[in-house]
Amino acid sequence: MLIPGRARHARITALLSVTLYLLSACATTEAPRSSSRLEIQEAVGFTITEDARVGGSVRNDYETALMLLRQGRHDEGVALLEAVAADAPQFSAPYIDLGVAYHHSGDLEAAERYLLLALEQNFDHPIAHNELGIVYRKTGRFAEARRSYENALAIYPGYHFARRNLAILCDLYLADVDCALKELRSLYGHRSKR
Amino acid sequence: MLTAAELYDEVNIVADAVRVYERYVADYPQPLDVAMETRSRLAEIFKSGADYDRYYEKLNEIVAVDRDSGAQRTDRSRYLAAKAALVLAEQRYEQFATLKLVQPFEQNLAEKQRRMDLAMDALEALVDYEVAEVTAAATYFIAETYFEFSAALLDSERPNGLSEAEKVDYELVIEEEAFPFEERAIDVHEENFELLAGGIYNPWVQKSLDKLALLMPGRYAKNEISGGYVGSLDTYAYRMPIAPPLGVEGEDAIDSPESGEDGDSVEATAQTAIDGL
Repeated sequence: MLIPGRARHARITALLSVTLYLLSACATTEAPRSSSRLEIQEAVGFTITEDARVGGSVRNDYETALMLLRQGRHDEGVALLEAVAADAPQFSAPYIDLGVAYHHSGDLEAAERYLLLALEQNFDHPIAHNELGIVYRKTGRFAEARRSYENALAIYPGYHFARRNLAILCDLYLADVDCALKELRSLYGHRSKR
Repeated sequence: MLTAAELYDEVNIVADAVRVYERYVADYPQPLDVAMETRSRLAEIFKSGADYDRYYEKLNEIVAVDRDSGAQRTDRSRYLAAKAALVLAEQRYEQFATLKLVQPFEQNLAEKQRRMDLAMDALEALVDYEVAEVTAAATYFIAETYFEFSAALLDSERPNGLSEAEKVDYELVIEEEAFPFEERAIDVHEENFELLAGGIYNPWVQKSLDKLALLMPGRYAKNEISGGYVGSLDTYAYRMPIAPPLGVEGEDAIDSPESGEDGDSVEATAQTAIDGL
């Protein structure tokens, strides 16, 4: 039976209120995103800036975590970086760095998890796409690897890491010679233009 | 009875778990899959307890039971038998690989060839199981058997009392004998890598690629490069480098490929094409 005019309007309003409440409740469980800017300078490079408030101690911890990782102190570096990611979940950098660190240590499952978290925060980060592409390749998911590299190149076509990695993927793993040649021409084309 | 054995197993009362598992497979050889899983569990227990005699004995039993089960064989029993047979074949390979060609050369060479034949027979038999992962492993080890034989010849102990001219001749002969085995190793590793075209990718296929990267770096030593750590919490700046030739990596590269010299690589082809534009 149809709900007559005024009553139906009230009921729809109530339903909408419930829906909005549920949506806002869901939103509060997610990490707030930073506002990110991607500035591209054709044939030069790009800069990604993520703006969000964060205390000085978190920045110090971030620097220390990277120093530890570069010294090969994986467990300590990762633990500190995970603390930074918990304190500043709106930034993609700690997640990407955790992805790289776990990739270095051979834990590809953890690497994938953190790289996907990074992309959840900032989908326009070529480093995360490129790193995820390598992880996908190493776990035999070649189509996903290709899509990841292509995502990185869609953001910035001159991103040589992804270009080269896509060329390797096409050459060795996909046996797609046309793709490999195309990517290599692009790679060396960028070089010759410089 | 099986439940009782599993309870012993869960609480790590190993001797009783083994006793009841053994009794179960003796009393209940059917259904085959359950008996085979139980034998596999027994093999795992023996291995983790470093009881290698019983471990290999159990693996042989798994292979034999599957082989003798005729029409009752299942995909699962075949899979478990293939995995057991792979371990046994690896053992044959190790027995072959660890024998060095020291003096008396002729005698040790004959023994090494005998062990090579045994290893090859065991490895080639694995292909009949038609289990993709095991086939890839077998192919990898067959290639490694050829490579190891080539390396053993090159590293063999040289006889005493040769004149300088005889030493030169001896080196030439050794190299001539060893080279075809290395070539064959490359061919077989490439066959393994070609399983990719059939959608098969597993650690053994990757191991063949890793070996090819060492044997033919120009064609295969192409490892991906990572962008490295972001390095700043809120800013990341990328500037295009002068693209390095393939094989020359940035310092943040996760993998360290070697530069190659082979002319048959796609990269070389592409570069030639680009140079000609």
